[in-house]
Amino acid sequence: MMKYAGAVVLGLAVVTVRLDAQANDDRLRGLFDPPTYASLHAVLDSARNAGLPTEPLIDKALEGSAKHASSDRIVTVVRDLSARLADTRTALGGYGTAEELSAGTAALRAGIAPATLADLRRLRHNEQVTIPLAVAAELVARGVRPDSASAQVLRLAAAGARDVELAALPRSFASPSVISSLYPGGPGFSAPTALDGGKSSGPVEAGKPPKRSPQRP
Amino acid sequence: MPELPPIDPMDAFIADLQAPVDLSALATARIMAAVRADAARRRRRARTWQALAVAAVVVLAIGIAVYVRPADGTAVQFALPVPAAHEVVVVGDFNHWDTHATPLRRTTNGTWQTTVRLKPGAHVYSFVVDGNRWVADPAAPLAPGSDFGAPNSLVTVAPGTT
Repeated sequence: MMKYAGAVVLGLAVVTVRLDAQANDDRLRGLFDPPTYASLHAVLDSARNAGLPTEPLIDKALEGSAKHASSDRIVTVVRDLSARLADTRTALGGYGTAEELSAGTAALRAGIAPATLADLRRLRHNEQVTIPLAVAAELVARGVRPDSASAQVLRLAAAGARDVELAALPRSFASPSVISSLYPGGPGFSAPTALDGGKSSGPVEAGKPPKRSPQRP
Repeated sequence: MPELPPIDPMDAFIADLQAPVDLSALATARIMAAVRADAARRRRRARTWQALAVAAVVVLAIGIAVYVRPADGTAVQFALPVPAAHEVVVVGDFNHWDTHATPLRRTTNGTWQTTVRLKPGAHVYSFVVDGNRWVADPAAPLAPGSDFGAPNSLVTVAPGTT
């Protein structure tokens, strides 16, 4: 009986995945002119055949559409992202979930070395590396040098730090490009300052500072 | 001449019916095979229905997990201080860059805010003010690269916190 049930569930799962892919396809078809859609479809097909996740590519196309980018630009960026995802997968030892590949791509783009991705995979071979990679990218975005960011994350990963502990790390760094007041007459924004020369002193509590965003409510 | 006992035709008929039937071995085997085949068919049908029931329960559970549980995840608050704005929305990979999906509410001090439950991982997002002005979050780091001009912000969401 379980054999039959398994077969039915598998069949339904395949149908669900196909319906999901169809829904994504329809989303793109509705947004782009036929030639652009055809180009994007070709990139997605190629990625799918290479075993790469297509959701980040679809999201990138949707971002371009939302920002009213030109069709050529959107296709170029999506194609470039597909290549980056493949590079990331190679750096991660030839495999990775969609979340890992997205986070790894952002990390590489931020300047984290491919060797760091390989080291993280080796250190956490039984766990996802999404959060460490995201943290490394965020540290660089907050002004930490890529090699320092890699070293911090690898040190914590080697010490067995959990994801929640790793994720707290960037919040102790100030953004280098904080805009103190975007809008004349607005209440402005007071950025958190760098703490202890870059060493972590724990996450900023919710509501402190009050306009810190995003934050745990 | 001796008198013959009276014969009731009905008794004779009943006696005939009650007499054991002498079936050949071949006929017995065919009847039993048919009975067994029918029982096997009924068992298969029952198993199929049981399998479908189990599959339905599993599919229902998966459906609930996938489509109802988005309420799970970590609650992340987005806020932007723009008192003069008429409308602010947050868009990102978590809402497929839909500029209508996640509007912010204006608070009494002029800050617009909303809370979204996000899956663990890295997310990129931006604010759209009054429908056409893309604004990166001044309180968050910028995401690496800006493929389409307007830069995005970056948030890392840890698992297991709410």
